[in-house]
Amino acid sequence: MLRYFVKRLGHAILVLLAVTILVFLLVYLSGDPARALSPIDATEEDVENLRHQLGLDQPLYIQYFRFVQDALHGDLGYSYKYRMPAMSMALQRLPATLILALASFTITVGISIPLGIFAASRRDSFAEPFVNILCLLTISTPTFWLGLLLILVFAEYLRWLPASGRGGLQNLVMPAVTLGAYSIGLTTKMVVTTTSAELGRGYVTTARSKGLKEQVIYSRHILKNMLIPVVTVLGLQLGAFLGGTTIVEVVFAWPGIGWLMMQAINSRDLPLIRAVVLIMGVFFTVINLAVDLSYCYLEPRIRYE
Amino acid sequence: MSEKTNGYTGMALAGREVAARPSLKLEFFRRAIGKLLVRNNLMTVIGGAIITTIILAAVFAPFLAPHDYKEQTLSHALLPPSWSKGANSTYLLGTDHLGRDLLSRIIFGARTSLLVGVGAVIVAGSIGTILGLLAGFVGGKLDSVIMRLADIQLSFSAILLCIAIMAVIGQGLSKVVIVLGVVSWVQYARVVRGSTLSVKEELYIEAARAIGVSNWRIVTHHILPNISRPLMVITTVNAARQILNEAALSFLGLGVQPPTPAWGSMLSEARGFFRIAWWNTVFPGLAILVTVLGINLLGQALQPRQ
Repeated sequence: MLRYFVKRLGHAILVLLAVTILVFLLVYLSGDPARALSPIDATEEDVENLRHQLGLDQPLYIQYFRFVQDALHGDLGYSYKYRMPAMSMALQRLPATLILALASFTITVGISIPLGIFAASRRDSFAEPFVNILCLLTISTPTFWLGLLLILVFAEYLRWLPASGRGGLQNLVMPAVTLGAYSIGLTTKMVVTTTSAELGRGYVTTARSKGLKEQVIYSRHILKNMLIPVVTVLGLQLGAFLGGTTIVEVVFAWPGIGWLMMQAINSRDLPLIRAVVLIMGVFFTVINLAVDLSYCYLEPRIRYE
Repeated sequence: MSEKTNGYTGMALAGREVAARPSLKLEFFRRAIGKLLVRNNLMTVIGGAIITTIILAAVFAPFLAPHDYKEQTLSHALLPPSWSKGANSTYLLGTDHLGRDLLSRIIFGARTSLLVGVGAVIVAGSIGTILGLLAGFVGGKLDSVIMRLADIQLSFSAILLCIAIMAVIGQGLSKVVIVLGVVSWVQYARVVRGSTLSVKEELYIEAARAIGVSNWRIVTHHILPNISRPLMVITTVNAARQILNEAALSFLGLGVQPPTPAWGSMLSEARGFFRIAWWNTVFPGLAILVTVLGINLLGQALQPRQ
């Protein structure tokens, strides 16, 4: 267990290192970093001053260590547009994104597991092909288009839900469903496949021959065994939610970190872009680590590998 | 003589009999079509039909499009589809905010989507297959380094990475293809490595080695053809994903730039007035959905049955 934990932690540190290198190199991808980090109306002299001030005339590895040092102190420079510390701005928006991701995750789990089990338990009826088509449709639908259609139907025509912004639970429904749609399709498919495989195993036949009720067989035996691959997919989805929020936040004007990133991109606010990418990268890594470590409890064999 | 030629004559007669019975050919076609329509194969037919139609539309776009996709007629702005009230029958799916024909833009948009889909798949497939083959075939430290790199890349959201890179390097068709391709090599590398590891243990590889076949030839003539099926499955999954990602990037204004028509950027432009002109939102999105669905249907048919 400890060995696995240490190994997994080492991997997470490696990923974090890669994230910092990526964020550091992001300014170099644009060509001249001093020019990229300067406001649009900066003169040539301003750019040169900034280059010296930020140490951009120093060797690359010194610049990188200085960047990591500053990032650890929460200093990633000031946003040009808002004239505020970029890191704290990005951190302020993080809770909204997390709420959205968590709501989507809940919807995904709440819909896909019962739906998948239902479809698998009725393999010979219309349910399985119907659910299969539904899954194919959800994984083929562009997220942002689904969001726009939901706004069109539920906010414009039916006027049941608000079209944008953050507020009560009503504001959360459409963005959460939009963000979760792809994962619902993917996870339901996974649940159908694993449940069908489990249904053919010997322990299910034994349980049936003992006269156990179908509900008990599903809840006590099948659910436990099919959960491991499903948790793997869900864990990967949780990370994908964080990436996908950017688009959903833009569609629904949800004031999260993704929307902030798009605002930063539109105004070429590089310190803010760097802060958002770094925070999302760190968060992504932490979630992946947590999901991996949770397997230890679900699948004890992992501890000994 | 009759004894001598009997056998040949018999065969010739049998051949003539087969040729004379058109029902056998029909029977063959009937069975083939029947097989195609059974379960998954129905999906192959539908998926194949969708993709063929879209490829044909993209190739013959200048002949199929009823209008010039760039032609702006401001007096015809936001005209509804031809079956609605107040429509102009020359614009089948209506017009956009600049009075451009929506159907023509959707047809030309297929070119962008397919180009990005195919291009990104080629980039990702080439990088991933080479690295996967190296990892699986050479093994050792090289395998560890490549797989560690893959783990790192997989630990980061691909679309987020694309957004960040595109925001800094600027937009454009070729940049989208390269960035989307570069960030999605991992799936290929993992699948190719796994398949290579199992194939390289096969007896025919050992036999090839024993007769002195070079490593290059073993990889290109024996391993690659034998891992083509999983490679095809991952290619369909990847192509569908790339088309969705390109649409998302274009929607965010980070992908293909106007006036090149792309389904994602058409949806982005339609956002400003989608309350009054629903057709600008519905049809380009439907085009993306149908294309990706077609690829996914083909992909599902390629996967081994449970």
